[in-house]
Amino acid sequence: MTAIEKIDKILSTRQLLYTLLVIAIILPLIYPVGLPIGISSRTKAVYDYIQDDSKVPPGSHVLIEIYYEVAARAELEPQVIALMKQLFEKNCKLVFLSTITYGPLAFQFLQASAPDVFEGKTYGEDYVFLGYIAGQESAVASLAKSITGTVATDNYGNSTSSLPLIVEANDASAYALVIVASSGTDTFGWYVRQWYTPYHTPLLFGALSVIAPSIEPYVNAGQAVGMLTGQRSAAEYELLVGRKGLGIASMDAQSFAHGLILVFIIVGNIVFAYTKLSKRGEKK
Amino acid sequence: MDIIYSKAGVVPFALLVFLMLAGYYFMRKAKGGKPIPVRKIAAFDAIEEGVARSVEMGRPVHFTLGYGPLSTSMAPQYLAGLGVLNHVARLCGKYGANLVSTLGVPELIAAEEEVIRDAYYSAGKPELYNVTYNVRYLTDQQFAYASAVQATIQRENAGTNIMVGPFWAESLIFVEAGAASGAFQVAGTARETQIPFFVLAADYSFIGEEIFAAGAMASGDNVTLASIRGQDIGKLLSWVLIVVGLVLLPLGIKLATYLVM
Amino acid sequence: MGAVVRRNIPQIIVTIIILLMVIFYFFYISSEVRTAFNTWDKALTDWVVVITAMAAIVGGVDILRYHVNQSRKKEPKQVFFSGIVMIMEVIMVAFAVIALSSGISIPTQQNFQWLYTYIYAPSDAAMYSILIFYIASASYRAFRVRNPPALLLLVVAILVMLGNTSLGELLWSGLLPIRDWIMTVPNTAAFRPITMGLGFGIIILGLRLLLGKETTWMGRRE
Repeated sequence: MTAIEKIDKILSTRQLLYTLLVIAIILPLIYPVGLPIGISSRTKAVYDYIQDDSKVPPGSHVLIEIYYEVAARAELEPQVIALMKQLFEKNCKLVFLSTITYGPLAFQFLQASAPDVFEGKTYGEDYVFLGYIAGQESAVASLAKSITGTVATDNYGNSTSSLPLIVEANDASAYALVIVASSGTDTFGWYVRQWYTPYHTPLLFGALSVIAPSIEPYVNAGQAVGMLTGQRSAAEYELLVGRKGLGIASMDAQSFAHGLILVFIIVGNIVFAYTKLSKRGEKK
Repeated sequence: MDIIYSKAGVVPFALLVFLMLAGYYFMRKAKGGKPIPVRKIAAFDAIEEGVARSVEMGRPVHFTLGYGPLSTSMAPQYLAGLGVLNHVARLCGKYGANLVSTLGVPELIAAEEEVIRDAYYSAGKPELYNVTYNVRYLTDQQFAYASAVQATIQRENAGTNIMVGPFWAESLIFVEAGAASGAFQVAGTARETQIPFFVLAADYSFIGEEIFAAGAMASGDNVTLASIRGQDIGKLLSWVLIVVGLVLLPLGIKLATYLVM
Repeated sequence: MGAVVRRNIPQIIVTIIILLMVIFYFFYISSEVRTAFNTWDKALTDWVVVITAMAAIVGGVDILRYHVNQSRKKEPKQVFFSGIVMIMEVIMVAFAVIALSSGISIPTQQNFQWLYTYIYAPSDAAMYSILIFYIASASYRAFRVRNPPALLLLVVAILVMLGNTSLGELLWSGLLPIRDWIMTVPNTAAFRPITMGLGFGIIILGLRLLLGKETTWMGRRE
């Protein structure tokens, strides 16, 4: 066995790759390196949109759909927290809801992860969580027409008609922005069809990086004002709003893991090319 | 009685009717005896290769349909998967291969049992049909389903791993589990975000609409197969609209606004 | 009679529902008809929920049947595993029955929330996280430059991966705009036809269902 073949055999071992990956991910989390994080134009565009008082006036109402389960928390929760911080700083009123059964749990985790963001905010006046609303797209359509007509009580059993925030903003026309943070793909289409198309409510998407290509057409068509995708966008947004969170904390680990995978791919290709050339040489 | 077009639009309705009529036209032509040639889908032909390979190695064929509720926009993909399962089961009956079919859709348990039973009985191999072995409902929770299928592929030492249906993040888990077992893999999904993972890691894949075409090819019926031409007419129409749209755009006319009227 | 019940009646039901759904999606006939349709639509949706619940019960019975069979094989590991699954299933069903009969809402119970938060949720997250390892091993195998398109794929993958990470920032600040362009322009252009093709495939599948040419969902042929 030649040296190159030995290298290929070693590199092909899954266990080696997985072990190195674990080290590449865990070490930067324990000993952060602080690699620079640039801000992409797309993330900046979302930030500028919300900062623009003519688009999202101070004190305006914003609806946030929490449509992710625990597995997708790492990518979506930092995005939502950073957006919440920016919106609360503008004294915006936030209405949270979920059309997925795991939503209430995700909201619980959200509150536990960002107590500083919720500090000083009063439930019922500054933010409300409507809980899980069954019905998927029909529920979304019904909410656009009337929130109190769709949901009698919030997640904690309070009558929605008794919550000042819901009384002020009971239908789609009252909202300056709808943020859809979803680990699925269908959710975005629901809001495009039921909130944007009939009422032209501006939509902002927060998605997993793998889903980004399938919702890009909505953004390109102007049906959504922008989108944040994955942990990278979350890290960029945390930098913009000035709150270091899980997004920034994960970037070093993400960078090293990607780097390791790239090294393996490149070395694997070098070995592959060498083997191919030597075989061609032997044939001649 | 007033008939007023809803906000869904006249043009979308006309396009829908046109496509359906196009499909129907080709189905009628095929019924009249005219053969409608359909391009070969490599992944479809590879299924037979995989089943034969499994028999040679003395290992079972594993098929999975996906998980989740049937009453969603993914329902067509479940139906397409069921069509491919029919084909796989018939091949397993023909070659005498053992088939392990896992699913996470409780509503389709009975349908799967009947499809597989029918296939083995038609092939004259009723002794190979064992409902507990052949059809395994796992769970309709995503990662519980993912870990159960992964374990099934590895525990059963599947020789061929066929996955057709809607898949989410678990798609890569399945192909890697199959690769680790040394299984021959054919995969297909219409969920665009997962197609790249199947193309990357499986030996053969159905890309997008090919799973619907595969369902038609699996039926073995010329008339059903001819309906695929309707899909091609749709694609031809979209090319025409794109070109017309591009031509009209510099003239200040946005074709898209007329298409939603 | 068996064939009529098993094949013709379901087909007639499916055909009628497809036609009604299409008609009422595109046409507004009158407010009375619309209201009647909405009532039937809601009723059907409610029945779907009931059927899904009943199907879940069938699924539970199927799992129990499978594990009872497996435990009969007397392989030590299998008996242990099947035993645990069966005990867990029986306990969950027992608790569900107790809760339903005494009007307790299970999701609000602290013990359930503990189980969900500290057992189910970490397991779920762990399975999702396992993808990084599989992506790494799949990438190592798949990104081999066998032909020119594979080389193009490799170059684009490197650009996007570096653009996504801070390592790219260190190398060159221009990687981020390149990544943005790749994701916005060629990537979207590649996804759009797939999405359109899907739509056409679904329409033709609907046609086959309408005409009774798609019958695998009905089960056996005889």
